[in-house]
Amino acid sequence: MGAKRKWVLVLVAGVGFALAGCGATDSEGARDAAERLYVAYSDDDGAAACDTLSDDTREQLVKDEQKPCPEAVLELDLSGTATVGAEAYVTEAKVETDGGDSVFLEETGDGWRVTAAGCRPAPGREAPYDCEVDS
Amino acid sequence: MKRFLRDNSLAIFLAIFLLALGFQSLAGWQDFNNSQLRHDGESIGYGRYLLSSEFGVAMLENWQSEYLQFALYITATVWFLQRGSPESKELDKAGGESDEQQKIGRHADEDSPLWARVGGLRTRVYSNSLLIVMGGIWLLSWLGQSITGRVAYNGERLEHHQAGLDYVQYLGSADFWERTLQNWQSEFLAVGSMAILAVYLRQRGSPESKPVGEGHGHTGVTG
Repeated sequence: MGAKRKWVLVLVAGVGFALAGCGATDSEGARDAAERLYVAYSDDDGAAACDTLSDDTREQLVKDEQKPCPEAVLELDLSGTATVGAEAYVTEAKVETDGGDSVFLEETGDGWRVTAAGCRPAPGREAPYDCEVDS
Repeated sequence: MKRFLRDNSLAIFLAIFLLALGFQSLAGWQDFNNSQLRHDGESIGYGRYLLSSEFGVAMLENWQSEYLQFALYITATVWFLQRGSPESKELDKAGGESDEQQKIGRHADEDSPLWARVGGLRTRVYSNSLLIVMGGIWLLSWLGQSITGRVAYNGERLEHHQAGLDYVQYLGSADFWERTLQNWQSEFLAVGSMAILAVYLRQRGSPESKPVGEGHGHTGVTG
């Protein structure tokens, strides 16, 4: 094999690996965080549930419910205790629960945090989901 | 060394390309992290940005349009002519030309590449090899743009609590076509304006221009 052909192969392989890497954001951490929220919620552990929320989401929840976060989070209507699917892109993820909820998360300095939970699709492809809590 | 530089000075563009790509990646990384900070997101490391779809789509959307431009230009200039343009062949030479003019098969000389001499399929492939490779790189980089563009766009959609798009949905999306067409239009504008401006304007010494004193109506002359 000529040196030029080797270079072409290396280039094609490099581009292939790079493209494969581009799609692969690890969604496991997002699944774990979503599951922690739903398990804590079903165990009535408001403090643990609040730990999974992003700062903005926690602030919004307290403002909406006019209660401290550990109480407010237990007033939400969340459905499910396990995750059944996840998709992650760059620093954002969406996780599905076995109760039919969607959960949106973002990667922060402290790992994955929930930005919206108890979400259901709204009519139309472009509409944001209707969520129980939203940042 | 001096002679090597003289014979390969246009290849310096490859070094400039790597430099520009390096600076693009640094600026893109900074821009991505600035936008992350605006909504309390996590900033990411440079290595991770280089492997991200955000960088991939920014790079590949420009690659695909450049290679499309050259692939189309190579093809179009076989048949399309422009009176007075140094980019055009003479007006009676439209088409693939004769084997003799193209030095193919028995018309080949001792400097002709092997695949031009042998005839048959190999010569047919070699006769179109520039277009095959340039067109192939265009299609591959457009494919890469579509794959990385979908991941980057879905990241934005999830940030706004919208559903992600599957690949086929993304191919029909405004984001994909806006990225594609904003690059295509600029390439076509540059090609069109070059073809016309080079009829009337000159750059002394450039093979892309006619000689300074050449008449406006003369076609297929460079110098």
